[in-house]
Amino acid sequence: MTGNLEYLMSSLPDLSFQNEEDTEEKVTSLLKKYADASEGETSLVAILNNEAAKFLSPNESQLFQEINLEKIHNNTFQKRKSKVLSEFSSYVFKLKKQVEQLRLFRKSNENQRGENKKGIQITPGNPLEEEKQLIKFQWEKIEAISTGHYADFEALISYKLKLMLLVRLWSFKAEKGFGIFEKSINIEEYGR
Amino acid sequence: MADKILMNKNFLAALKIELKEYKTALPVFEMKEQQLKGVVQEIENDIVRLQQSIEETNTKTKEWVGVMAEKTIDLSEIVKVDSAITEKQEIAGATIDVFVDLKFEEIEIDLFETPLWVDAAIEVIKDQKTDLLMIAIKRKNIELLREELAEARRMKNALKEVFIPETIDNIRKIQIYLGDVERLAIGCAKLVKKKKQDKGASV
Repeated sequence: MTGNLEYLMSSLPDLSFQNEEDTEEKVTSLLKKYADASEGETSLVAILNNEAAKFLSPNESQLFQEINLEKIHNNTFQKRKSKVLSEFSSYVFKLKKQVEQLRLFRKSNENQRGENKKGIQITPGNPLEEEKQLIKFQWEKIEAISTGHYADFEALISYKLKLMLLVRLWSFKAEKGFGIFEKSINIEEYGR
Repeated sequence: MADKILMNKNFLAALKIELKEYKTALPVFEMKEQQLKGVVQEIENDIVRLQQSIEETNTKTKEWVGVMAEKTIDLSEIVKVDSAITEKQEIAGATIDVFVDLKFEEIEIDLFETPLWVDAAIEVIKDQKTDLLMIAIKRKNIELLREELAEARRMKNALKEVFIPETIDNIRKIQIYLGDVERLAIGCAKLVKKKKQDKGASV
């Protein structure tokens, strides 16, 4: 199994914390090569899941498929045997709690952004910059907890977590975002 | 104003009263026109200022708006207008709506589950919605005030260009006619008197 994973890990594109379009295109094109042409448009995470399933046991494959960035802080992940998964899950839970505190602090102290002393140490910036910092914190945590894992299941989990972080980072498209913003400020419905 | 001129003193007196009323009404319509022009200009300036504010907010938001492309939350579902509060105000005979406040529905946001950027997005959407609604109300007011302004202008012009000059002209015509009649009557009286005197002397 380890040998197979070594093959899989070595054939996956390198991931680095970059938001440049060419990095996104490179990773996307390489990962899409794995996808069956007949499957049409598939998400990068789905491609990785499908590809990994070929090299993992049914139990591992099921766990691997369940890994989801939106639910990664859940208790079920914190209790997993996988060190990378449980540590990252606990870290995200703590991070989300700190972000929640920061948001509460900001709500109660309008115009005093970033003065939260007991909460998360985030450099105040615009929401995109702050979101990138939070993703970077998570990226660095994965790097730290996956040290020494290169071609095992832990390495594959780290790879998926990193890929999910990048997919989230790459989803921040200005044009699309502005379209959503414009749609949400529409007041026509109020008959004015 | 009467269609037919009657060449008598009663009609002359009625025309003089009419002229007096026209002269009293003219400054009222002139003042109304000036006031409405001022208010319309003021509202137009407000609209320009609000549009600039919207543009500035859009420019600032564009720096980070990419986060809104993330498929986590439906922004139009979490920022919903509850009610727009306005007050009626009368300006130079026109009743307009004055913006007081825009109330949003109190929708609880899960600060743990939702991303950090959602707070800023909600604030900026609320600000833009408020500014856009204010513009919409002001545009509607401008429409009403322009109609009122056009009416005031029509009345001012009618008084200034038609009613007052025509009445003055009619008064002049009647006065000339009545003057002629009076002179004729005096001439006749003098002639009668002279004839009477001549007749008395010959007797």
